[in-house]
Amino acid sequence: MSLPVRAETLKGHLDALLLAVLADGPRHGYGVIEALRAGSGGQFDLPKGTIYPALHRLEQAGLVHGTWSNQTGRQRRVYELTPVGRRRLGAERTAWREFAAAVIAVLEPPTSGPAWATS
Amino acid sequence: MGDKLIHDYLSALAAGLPGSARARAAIVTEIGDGLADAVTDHLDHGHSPDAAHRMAVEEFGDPVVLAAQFTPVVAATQIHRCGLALLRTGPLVGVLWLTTVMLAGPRPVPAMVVLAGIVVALAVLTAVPCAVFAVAVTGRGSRRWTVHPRSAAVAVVVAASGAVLGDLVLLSALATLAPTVFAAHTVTAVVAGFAVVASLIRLILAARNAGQLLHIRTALTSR
Repeated sequence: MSLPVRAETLKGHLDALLLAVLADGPRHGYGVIEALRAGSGGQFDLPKGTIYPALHRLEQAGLVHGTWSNQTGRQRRVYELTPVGRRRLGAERTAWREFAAAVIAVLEPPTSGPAWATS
Repeated sequence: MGDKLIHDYLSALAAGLPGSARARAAIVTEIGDGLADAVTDHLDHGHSPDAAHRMAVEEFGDPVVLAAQFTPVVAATQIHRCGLALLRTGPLVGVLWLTTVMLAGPRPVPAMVVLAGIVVALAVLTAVPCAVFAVAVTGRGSRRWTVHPRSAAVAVVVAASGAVLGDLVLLSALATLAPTVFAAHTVTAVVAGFAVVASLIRLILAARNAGQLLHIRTALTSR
């Protein structure tokens, strides 16, 4: 079984991951943490506190919108994606696919030669 | 014991946070809610109340480190608010003082008033770009430009100092010319009165924010 991914490894990707977790709908801070952990199969098990400043930073940038709710009798802050955040998520996904494809191309070059040579 | 752990954690967090009491209270409430969720989670998994509280606190990490992670965000909010207040009040204060000068300006204009005008113009020319920069890099512009909040803090302090200098110079000039201005005409006296009130309100707000801004600058420098 592989070890959980360390916080430093995720640095630089955390914003995109948080936007992705919020793409399914509004969540409060702990809900975001749980979704991140569950969505990664337990790999992204960060110090839970670190998620909150990141959410505040995204809110400041206008990528998520936070509101206070009192539905459970407890004051909780709920976050949802803004239209700008949704567009940013799309751009982040595209950039990640291109980056991942480039890394895989270098790390795992095809052993049987290029596709054009075998056809 | 469990409740004391959470209470101590939140107290340590609050002590390390910069910004207004309201901003700090909002963060503490939010983290407290998260800790309560974590405790419930561990209780649901069969842990004892003491163990659930201890695990929740451990998972959230060192409160001093968490406060430090919040510092740039809280700082940016405070800087943004302060910069916006300066940019919003500037035109109103400026129009009131300009109207006062136009209505009551003694002819010929005394050298002291000309000098005051030059100082105010220089203060405005310095303060406005600094305030615009501070607002731009700490709000939604932060997703385009990555500027360290320390630079924004310096910019907003310079902008606020410019506004304070301008207000003090204008108030001093008016105090010298008060007999002429307030004896000139009722309308002139009323406009001058509004200008004085506007400048005084801005000075009071600047004094109230100065402490928080200095605390923020210190917190950003020590990171």
